[in-house]
Amino acid sequence: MNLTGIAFLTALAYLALLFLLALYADRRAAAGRRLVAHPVVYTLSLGVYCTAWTFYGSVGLAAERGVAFLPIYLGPTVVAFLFPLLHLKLLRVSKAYGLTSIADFVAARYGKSGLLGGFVTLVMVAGTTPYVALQLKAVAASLEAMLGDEMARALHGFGADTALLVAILLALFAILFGTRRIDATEHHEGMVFAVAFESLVKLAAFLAVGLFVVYGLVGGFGELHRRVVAAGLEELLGFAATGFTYTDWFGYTLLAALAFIVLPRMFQVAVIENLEIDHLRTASWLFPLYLLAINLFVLPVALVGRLAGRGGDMLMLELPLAADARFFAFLAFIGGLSAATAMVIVATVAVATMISNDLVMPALLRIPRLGLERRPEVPGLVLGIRRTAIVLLMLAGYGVFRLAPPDLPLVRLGLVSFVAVSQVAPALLFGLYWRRANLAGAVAGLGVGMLLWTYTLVVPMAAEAGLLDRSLLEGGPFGWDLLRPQALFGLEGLDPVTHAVLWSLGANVVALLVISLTTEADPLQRVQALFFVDVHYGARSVRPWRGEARVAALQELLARFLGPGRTAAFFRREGRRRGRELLPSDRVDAELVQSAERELARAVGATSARLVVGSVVRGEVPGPESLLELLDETSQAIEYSQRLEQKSRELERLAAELRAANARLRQLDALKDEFIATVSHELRTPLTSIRSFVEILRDHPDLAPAERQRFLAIVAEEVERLGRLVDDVLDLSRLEAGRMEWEVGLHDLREIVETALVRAGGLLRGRGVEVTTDFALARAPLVCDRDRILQVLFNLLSNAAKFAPPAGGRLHLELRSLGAQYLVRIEDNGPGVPPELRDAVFEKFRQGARALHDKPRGSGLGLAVCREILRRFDGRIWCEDSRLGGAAFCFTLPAAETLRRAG
Amino acid sequence: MDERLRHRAAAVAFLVTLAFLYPTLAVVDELARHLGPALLPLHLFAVWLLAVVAMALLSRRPGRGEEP
Repeated sequence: MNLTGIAFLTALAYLALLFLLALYADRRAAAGRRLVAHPVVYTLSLGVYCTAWTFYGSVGLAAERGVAFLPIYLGPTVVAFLFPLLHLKLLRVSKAYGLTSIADFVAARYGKSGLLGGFVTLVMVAGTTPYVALQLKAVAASLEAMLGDEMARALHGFGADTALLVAILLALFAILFGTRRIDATEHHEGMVFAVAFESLVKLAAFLAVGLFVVYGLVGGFGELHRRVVAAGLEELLGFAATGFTYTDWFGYTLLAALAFIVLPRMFQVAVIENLEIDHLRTASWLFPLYLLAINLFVLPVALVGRLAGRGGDMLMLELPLAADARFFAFLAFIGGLSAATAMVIVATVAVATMISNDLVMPALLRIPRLGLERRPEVPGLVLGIRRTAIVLLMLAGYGVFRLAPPDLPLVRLGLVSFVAVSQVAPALLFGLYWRRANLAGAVAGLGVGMLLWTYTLVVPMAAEAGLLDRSLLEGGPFGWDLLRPQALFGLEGLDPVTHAVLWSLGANVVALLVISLTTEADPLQRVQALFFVDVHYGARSVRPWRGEARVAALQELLARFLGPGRTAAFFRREGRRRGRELLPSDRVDAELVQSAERELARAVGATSARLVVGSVVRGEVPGPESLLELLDETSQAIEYSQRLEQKSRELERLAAELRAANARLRQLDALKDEFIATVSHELRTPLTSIRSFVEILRDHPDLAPAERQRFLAIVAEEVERLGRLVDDVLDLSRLEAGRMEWEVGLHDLREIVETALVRAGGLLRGRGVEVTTDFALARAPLVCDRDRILQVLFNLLSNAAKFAPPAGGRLHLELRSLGAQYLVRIEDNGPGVPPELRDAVFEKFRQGARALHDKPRGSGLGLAVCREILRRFDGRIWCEDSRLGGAAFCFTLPAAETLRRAG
Repeated sequence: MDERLRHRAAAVAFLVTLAFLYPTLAVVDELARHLGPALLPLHLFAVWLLAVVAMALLSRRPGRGEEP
């Protein structure tokens, strides 16, 4: 089979596969086993943002202007990081009110305005048509690239039109999977699953072709860089190659960010098709990663194309074809087909829903002669409108494709769409965050924005295509230089798109702000504003209503639009909520009217639902005063709720702090008990000994003098030990309580060390300990309390003496500098301290050697006192292995820096 | 998704915006003259990747017994 046949068959087989996948996902959903209820599928469905523009147009643009393609993806990346703020709010509002599209959303925010809903729909139609044209152009161009010029000419000779064929197939797909049910809020799970699959396919295709081009054709990134430099193409990597000013770069990034929020297909997959709000958590990082991955090879492929002397939108196909790598060429073709088909399907379904719910149905319902709300064929009519709209949209896209100049780059078409749809963003965003924004402001902003879009972007394109006089561009209309479409009021030096963005969006925002601030919103708008802006606080609109109507009338109305089954389910649900069955003769209340309106809005949109319910359930909306009273009460309730929430958070924080403090107190209490028990024990031991010996002396007056003398010596030793213990306890309590009196001055650490050694000399000699010293410093000035540091040293030296072996005891004392500190190290060849006890020995009543020698030899407080004293002078003490085989106690103290240097 | 996650998301978006736009871009482009022409695309993709990693860590759902 030749290449032509394979290309056609591949395309058809791929579309058939999508049909099967969508069908499978729909069936699974009907059986309650949803394939799309996963955050990764949700994230992949957002990949519908990447269309043929990404697949072909970005590479073409990068080949001409380096990284100029990137702002279109940086904007959505920033928005994706904001999913937990912005999209969380969009989703909450949407789910609370059963909204069906971006037009429905904006209309509902501004008092369920039919005018605004219709206006937004028209804007979206204007913005989507060139985008559909872009996809058809890309698919047609890619097919022709696969066929080769000769084949394509032959095909055209037979009157075959690939773009038209593709348009028909896609329209069929969109109708089958996007308009099967009237309820537009019911998720199109088959369609979403197919779109997610397509996202995966185009990403895999892009990466595979990118790897082939970079590694297969050039030999890797290093070699590519070398060749780019050798060919003098390195300028393509810098900012200058983009042809942008930094304002242009900002303008494109902003444009892409806004378009990403309001593009009908993006709103459809991100908001309407979302199954769980928590999926935003994963999408907020996984979607930027997807964008990064799909853009990774854009610039490298473009550079390889330039090295081969090629350019244009079809590089992704042309490079593998030129290398006769048919497999990769087919991969690229399938990737591009995926990118184009996903966009067209979702966008046409979304815009068709808007056309039916916000444009055609409200118009038809306003014609009393038709009596639409009383006719049983309404659901069929709604679906028929949507299906017709899909076909018309596809044909309009095809028309634009045929009318547009053949050499018009894909990117240019896409940008025209972006600027149009982004005009809805101010009304949406101000509506979500600013209560004062009103209908008049939104309509004025959108109107001014679209006028300027037409004047600054569409008119120049028409002039360039020869549909208008070209002199308009150079001299302005009627020769008014200030009105030149691409340099309006003298704003020159910008990219035409940035120029259009700044003027249209700037004027849009100014008009919205000024008109909103200078006009009053009607009460319904103010109620809606309140509930949209404060949706995070659980606000939900219940519009006040007074009137005479029975449940039977409402049942009959809903059954016509939703069918008897769904209507019965709705009334059962409402009955359960009220705790009693709703009877046909019951009077309806405001809440039931609102619920019915919401249920109906899921099928025909908020604006139409309001009209339909209003026409049957005759009643009146209370006057502005009553509404404002309610508004004030609601505002107060919301503010009160917010304050309560704030207080609750504070209380939670305080409770956590109290719990922590309580735990600490318990710990301290346990430590105190342990301390008292240990001190009592330590006091009792010498006291018992003293008492025993004194009693012996008292009861045996005839004791030999030598014996008496020995007992008295023991008593004296125990008394001395008691004295030391009491001193240590007192010292420690003063240190810990911060009541120790310090006599701080400038001293010489070497002199203190030497003095300590002299004082401990008797003890050391008495135990036969051989002392060696290593003083590396002649002077060691420091600021300290001399007596206390002496106490530390004496304590450490006497410990070393106590634990030295009875024969052959050795002690090594070292003083040296350690950075800006002094280090004192006292080593012995005693039993040492096991590593696991080296921290514990500095705790109260812990003697490391006690485990080895049962006999206590000190108060157990000495090292704790040493640590506290050294801490007072920013010093540190620790225990480690000694080179002599025992323990080494080391401590550091900060040097008196300036004096040390002078010395 | 609690308020802390919203604040974290706003912080990441703000920092990324700073790194993607003027004047950071102008500084990077100027440095590229001395350090090599590939610095600008490298900077953009590195910031992109770092932000993805940061956001993935920050938006992690707290495990059992972990502070939210």
